[in-house]
Amino acid sequence: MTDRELDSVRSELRSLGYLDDSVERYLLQDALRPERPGEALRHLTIKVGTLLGIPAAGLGVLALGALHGHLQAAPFDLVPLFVHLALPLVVGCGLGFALLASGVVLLLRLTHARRIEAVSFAVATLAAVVVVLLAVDSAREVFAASRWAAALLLAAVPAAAWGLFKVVHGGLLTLAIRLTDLPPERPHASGRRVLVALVGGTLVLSALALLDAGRAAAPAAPSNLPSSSAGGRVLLLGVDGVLADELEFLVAAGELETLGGLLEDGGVLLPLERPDGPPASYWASAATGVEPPQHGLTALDAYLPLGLSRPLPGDGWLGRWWALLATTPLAEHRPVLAASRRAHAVWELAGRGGLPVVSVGWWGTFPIEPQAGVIVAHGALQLLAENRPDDGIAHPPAVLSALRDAVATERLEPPLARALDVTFGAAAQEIARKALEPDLAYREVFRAAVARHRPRVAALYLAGLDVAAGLDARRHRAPGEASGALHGAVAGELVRWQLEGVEALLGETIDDFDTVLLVVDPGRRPDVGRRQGRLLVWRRAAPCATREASADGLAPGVVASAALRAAGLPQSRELPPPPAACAWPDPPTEVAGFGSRQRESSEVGGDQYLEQLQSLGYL
Amino acid sequence: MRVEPKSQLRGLAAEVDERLPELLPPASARPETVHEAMLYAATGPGKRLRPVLTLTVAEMLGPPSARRRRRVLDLACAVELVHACSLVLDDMPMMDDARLRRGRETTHRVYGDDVAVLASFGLLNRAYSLVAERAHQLTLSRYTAEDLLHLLTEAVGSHGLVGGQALDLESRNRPLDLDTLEYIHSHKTGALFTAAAELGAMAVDARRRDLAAVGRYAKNLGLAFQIADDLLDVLSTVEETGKDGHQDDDKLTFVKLLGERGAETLCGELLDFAVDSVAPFGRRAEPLRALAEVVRRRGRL
Repeated sequence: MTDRELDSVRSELRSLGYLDDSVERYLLQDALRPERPGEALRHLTIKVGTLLGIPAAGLGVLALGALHGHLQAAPFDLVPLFVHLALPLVVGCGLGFALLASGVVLLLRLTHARRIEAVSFAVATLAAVVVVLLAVDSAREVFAASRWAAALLLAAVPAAAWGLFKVVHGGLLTLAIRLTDLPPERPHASGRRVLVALVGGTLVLSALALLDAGRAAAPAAPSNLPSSSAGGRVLLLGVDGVLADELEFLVAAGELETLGGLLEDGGVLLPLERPDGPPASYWASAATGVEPPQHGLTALDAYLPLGLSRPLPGDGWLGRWWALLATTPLAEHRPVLAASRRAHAVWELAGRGGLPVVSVGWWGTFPIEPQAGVIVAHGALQLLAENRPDDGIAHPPAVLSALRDAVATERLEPPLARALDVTFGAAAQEIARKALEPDLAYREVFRAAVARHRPRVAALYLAGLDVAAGLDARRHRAPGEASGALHGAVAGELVRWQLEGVEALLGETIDDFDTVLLVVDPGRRPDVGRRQGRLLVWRRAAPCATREASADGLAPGVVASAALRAAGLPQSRELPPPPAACAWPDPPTEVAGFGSRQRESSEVGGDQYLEQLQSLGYL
Repeated sequence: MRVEPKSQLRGLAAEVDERLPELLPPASARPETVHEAMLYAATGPGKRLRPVLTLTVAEMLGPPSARRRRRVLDLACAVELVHACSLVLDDMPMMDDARLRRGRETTHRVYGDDVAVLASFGLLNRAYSLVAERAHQLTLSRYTAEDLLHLLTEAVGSHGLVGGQALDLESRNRPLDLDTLEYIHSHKTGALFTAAAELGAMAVDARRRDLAAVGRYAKNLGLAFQIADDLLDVLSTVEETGKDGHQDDDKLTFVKLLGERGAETLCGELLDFAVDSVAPFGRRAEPLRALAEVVRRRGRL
């Protein structure tokens, strides 16, 4: 007799109504085992965790693979990803079941409930409904990345929900039988009805979600964007680490003459909402016009689990799992690189038609994608200072020498350096070197690039005060000591220094631009009152309304939207409309979307970039 | 006080042993020879697995009141009478031509073929009349007396025991497939096991789904019992089994099909599944688990 013969006998007997390996049987075995109740719960937790965790890992691989580009670019990553996901999901599902089971046991004990079947049925139904809702919501997100993956995910949802219902119901029922020694009273509802309800509910929800996602989905990118002759040149400045109150106070006090002049000349200062999330996410929204799930920069860091070729973002509970794994050789810590950004930034859209652009230091741009004009990656100066290879830092290569010169020559003025010494002591040098002097250099490189290329869109991000706040906070992170996070008299000095620098830049370049968009954000500065930023909009010869702005802030996406309209580029239905307070030229055309940015994963300089983010207190 | 499941089973078997002679006509009543043969066939030493199964299921799903319990005991004895009848016929010269049964000479060898046939009919009809009477007295809401009677008659008829035995006879010295082997076992042995369990469930007005669960248990137990019996035929002596050895030499059995180890594995799996089928009843199903263990060890209660 061989095992094969035995198997064929088994299978024939199964067809004759004998042996059966149903899930219910597998779980219900524990109702009759003579172990103590705790042992029975342990058995069931392991069984339920395995039965739910493994399929969940399969669905998770599909969703993550679609969301982060592995499905298309690195399908072989899916196998190791499944291996990595299986353990936490099995453990998570097991713990989830143990929690549910504890609740049911408590209920049975407290209420002497005899309707164990009804209790198990209700809890299992609730769990299945929650899973359907979560899965449909995830499928909406996946839809933006891959329609067929979303369809596959949705097709699997009823089966997954049904499986979950059966496993949870069987598990809870088994435990209840084991604890009460009572058989179930009566079937509460037939399994077929539950199945029909789950499939029906999933289909309806899926249809609604897909319709919604379809409306919001990014269509194929037009290869060339027509620009309107009415469009002008746009200057986009991002200043991190400045409070709205500080900006308004300095303008009102007349200390910022150029900015004050812009406001008097038809400019308007509008509140900007600051959603929770890492700075990369916020500033990418401002540059792309879309929300974090759509632009893809949801975290500052990422992880490369062993066996994968593309990293996964480090946010959410999964991010915590990867972080834990990164303490072992099973995963590596990585920064979020430009390849993770799926939406096009304003300068990329402007550059698509061959228009010259300048972008210096904006988040989510390392390693850079060369374009007509000048592109300097986020963190470029620190990367250069650490003598890393030049790949991906700046385009054209000539800019590298300008950056090196700037690193070598730009120093803080002595009074400010002294103020830093007094306030920060030994840390003053670090703050000057890592936070403030790079901004001097970026301003200089930006000024030169604008003068040379006369870009259609020019964007500059200045992180100095935010980095200083981060370093200061880290300095004060001793137990029992309040966070420093840059406040007090020196903060005023630094804000004045930064905004005066912006003023000077504006003074030199304003003639080259028709529209100025200045975004000021508190970054990591102390949280005072409502967390908002400000958007200053100025349009040459098109004064904005001076009516009182609403206290409700605008979404950061309006910045990109305003920049595109001002530059005479098409309007996308994916983006919010530009601020209504100002008049904007009609777009040459309206498109459904600008398409998804597909870029190959690149690990160029990843290690140094990660170290740099860490050294600036971001991670 | 909690009674050990195995002791509980032994107690039930003893109750059956005690009750069986009371349910049969005394040997002194006419026709004496037939009545004596009936008593001889029914009260010989046996494991009483089938009536114990009826009682265990009833107790698990009931438990019945004392009066009702007495009636269920009689139903269980009716099952044993049917089994005794089948053994008398099975041992006859035109069937297995067996000399020994339960450690004693077979009925036809003691009383002659003619009396043995009559005794077997006597046992069968006594079983039917017992079921009809007791089922009526049980006043069930989900089932009628006819339902119980129909269950037992179907288990005996050409779709049950008779059918299994017929195919067994036709198949001697002929190549058999698994499908036919299962048909023979499920009808010759399994049908009465299933009827025994379902009779116990119906006797306490069990829900349909509980009836199905115990039916599944009994069906798998029945086939496992048959495989265990095949193994016993190969591995044990006449003294141990109490019946003629190597009776299955000219038949296809699971042992021949799968070898001893394979048959043992399959027997174990069937018993595991049988036990799992009644797991929803929790620890109240422990006696049924103990019964499965008896079959697994091919032992006595």
